[in-house]
Amino acid sequence: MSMRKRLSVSSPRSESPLVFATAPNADSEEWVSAWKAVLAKDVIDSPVVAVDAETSVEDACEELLSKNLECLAIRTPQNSSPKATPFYGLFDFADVNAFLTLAATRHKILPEELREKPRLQEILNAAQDGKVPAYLVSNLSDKNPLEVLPHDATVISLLSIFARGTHRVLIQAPPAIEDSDSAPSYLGLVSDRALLSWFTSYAQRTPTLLRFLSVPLSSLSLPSLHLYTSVVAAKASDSVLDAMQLMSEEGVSSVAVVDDETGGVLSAVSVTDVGKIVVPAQNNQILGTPLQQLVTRIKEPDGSTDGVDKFPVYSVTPNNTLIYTMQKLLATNAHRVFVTEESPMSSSPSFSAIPNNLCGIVSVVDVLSLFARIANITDVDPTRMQRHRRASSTSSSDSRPPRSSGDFVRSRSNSRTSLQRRVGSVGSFEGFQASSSRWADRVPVPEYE
Amino acid sequence: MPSDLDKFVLVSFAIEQLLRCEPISEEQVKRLCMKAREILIEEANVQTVDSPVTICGDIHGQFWDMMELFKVGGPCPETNYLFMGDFVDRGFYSVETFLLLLALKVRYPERMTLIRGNHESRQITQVYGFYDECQRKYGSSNVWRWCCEVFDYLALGAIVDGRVFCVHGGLSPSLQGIDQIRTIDRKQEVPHDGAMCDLLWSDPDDITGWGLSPRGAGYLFGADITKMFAHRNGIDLIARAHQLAMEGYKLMFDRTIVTVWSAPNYCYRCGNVASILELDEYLAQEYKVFQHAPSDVRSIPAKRPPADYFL
Repeated sequence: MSMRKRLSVSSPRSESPLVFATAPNADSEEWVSAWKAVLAKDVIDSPVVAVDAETSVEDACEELLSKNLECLAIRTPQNSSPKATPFYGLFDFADVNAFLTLAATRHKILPEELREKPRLQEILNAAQDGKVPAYLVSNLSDKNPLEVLPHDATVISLLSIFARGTHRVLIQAPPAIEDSDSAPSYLGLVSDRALLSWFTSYAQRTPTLLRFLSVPLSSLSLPSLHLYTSVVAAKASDSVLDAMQLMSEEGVSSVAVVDDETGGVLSAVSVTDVGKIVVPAQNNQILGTPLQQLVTRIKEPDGSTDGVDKFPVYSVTPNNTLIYTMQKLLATNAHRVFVTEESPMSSSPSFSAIPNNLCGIVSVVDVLSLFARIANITDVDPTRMQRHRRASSTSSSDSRPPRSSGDFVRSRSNSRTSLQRRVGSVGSFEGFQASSSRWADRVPVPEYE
Repeated sequence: MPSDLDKFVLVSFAIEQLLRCEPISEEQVKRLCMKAREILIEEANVQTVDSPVTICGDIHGQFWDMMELFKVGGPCPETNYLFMGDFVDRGFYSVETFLLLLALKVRYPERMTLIRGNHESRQITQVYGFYDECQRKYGSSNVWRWCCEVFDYLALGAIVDGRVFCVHGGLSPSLQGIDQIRTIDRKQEVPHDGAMCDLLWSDPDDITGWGLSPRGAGYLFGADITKMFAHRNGIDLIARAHQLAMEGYKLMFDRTIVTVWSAPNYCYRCGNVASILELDEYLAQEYKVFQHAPSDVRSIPAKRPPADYFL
């Protein structure tokens, strides 16, 4: 029996949304009971697309790109027991990025790390033999675990999973009565964005919830929206490899790209962008390319056929409301938006305000974690996988303190920018065999010679 | 201190050179930009323009196609022109394109009106090509910086004979009246949101009311919003650009709003035609459609030079 604490009638809810979020009251109870009545399978937004365990990493990535998918399911290897679940794990661009980063920096891995993580050695051995099977790379990022729910699970169960930072959940089909021994089949996949879309529609037809969500971000307690706290960022002059390493080691799927001089946010680079552009069979040049150039190559095709150019970075301000943020995430089809503000320097007249100063980030799972709290779900921790990833990072973490913000003119934000360039460190794919270079067809080649 | 005659000569030489698609010297750029700012700073956020005038949409650095435009519409100053922004990015000749328009503005300020597009911005030009082109052609970022400073001074819109409202993108939920635009402080980098951003980023769409734009800035607005704005402000037509129109122009919402697109064969591969909108002294509309310049040795570079200046 949960404790029930009613808000005193005199305090308007909009003044203390955090309290509202954690203390059930008549409105939130009404919402939660509505959510309990909605089945997860009604929010499914994509089919489960599977590939065999032995599919090469390149082919699996090509599958993602050509079918415009976020995620593949890797079938269990053939020699496993027949009653095992049909899927070994999942495979997405974060895993691809982790793999590419491993490939490019393998000469720097310490022997003890390889001992601790035998899978890395398996991957390196497989690469030496000329083909890395996708199952070895499944969840290499530590951010993409296989989560399954039964066919009659509700939205509440979905929230519990998303609130721990996962981005998608498989929904099982009802078990076939005649053949209870057969492997389960799946109705489809629910992505975090599909659930966000559902909540946004629900809010738009539920005035009490809409009111609740119409509060500025700065007044809410969202786990990643610690305004003025670390956001993973790299400078425009940092290299592609720097960004790849940051994403892999910090357990994030994108990094903000900030202006070298002003520190303002220019754009962002994601694991998906890396998956499209970085080719292991290509030469090393791409790895050393400045991020600004990568951004240009990524953005070039966008809008070149319909003139609908996009803004280089999707962002909101701390004064924007949560419902606006949700709508923006959906309208732009983004996984996260950055939080920026004009930051006036304190008293010094010689500095001007930093435009687009990066001060936070709000992702789809961050928003879902708020709904999880409303539903009184415990164990809400969307950044857990990130922290776990950082703690077990493969590179020698001691040689790399977070770059201090003293390098730019910056007032309060403490964005963790990229690493100091290691002496003589140029990432290299040399000698790293890849079975095919079909990826090369995918790379949008600008009209260079 | 250069006399007015000196400035006249400077600009005339610049125009001659730019008409041949030759970049002018860095020093010439600096002086041209300074002179342009002196003129633009006097303009209103919504600049008043008299008919007859020829309204043009996005050019995006397609210099030789702009030459086609001038063949169709007539040379400036014999024809009055209003360019609705997006002079730079994407095409290979953003430098020559923008500087020519700027030089014409300085030389014939009453015959050439330039308003700001969403690409006239530091953040956008660093991603979509103008910054790189300046680096390649001048070896430094000075020209880019001076041009961006000029961008900050460009008007946000124009109104022809009080009846035709011209803006690069579209409308804003923060603005019901054109008068409200006049209160914006425009001399800044295009913000991420707010009225000034919306004017340069929004798109008309087949929806009711407002929607957030998939572009990540600005809004989508429907026929109801458009007609209400037109009615409330006593205007007959909203002319805007910002979106590719395969047939060169696209009328929507019972002809209350038109998209004019002036970059034929956009990105040298879209296969579209372009158009200009001629308004005569009675504000009668004539759309003139034109194709891209014939492919000759000059119109499309054999290869874009590799970006080796980073090494």
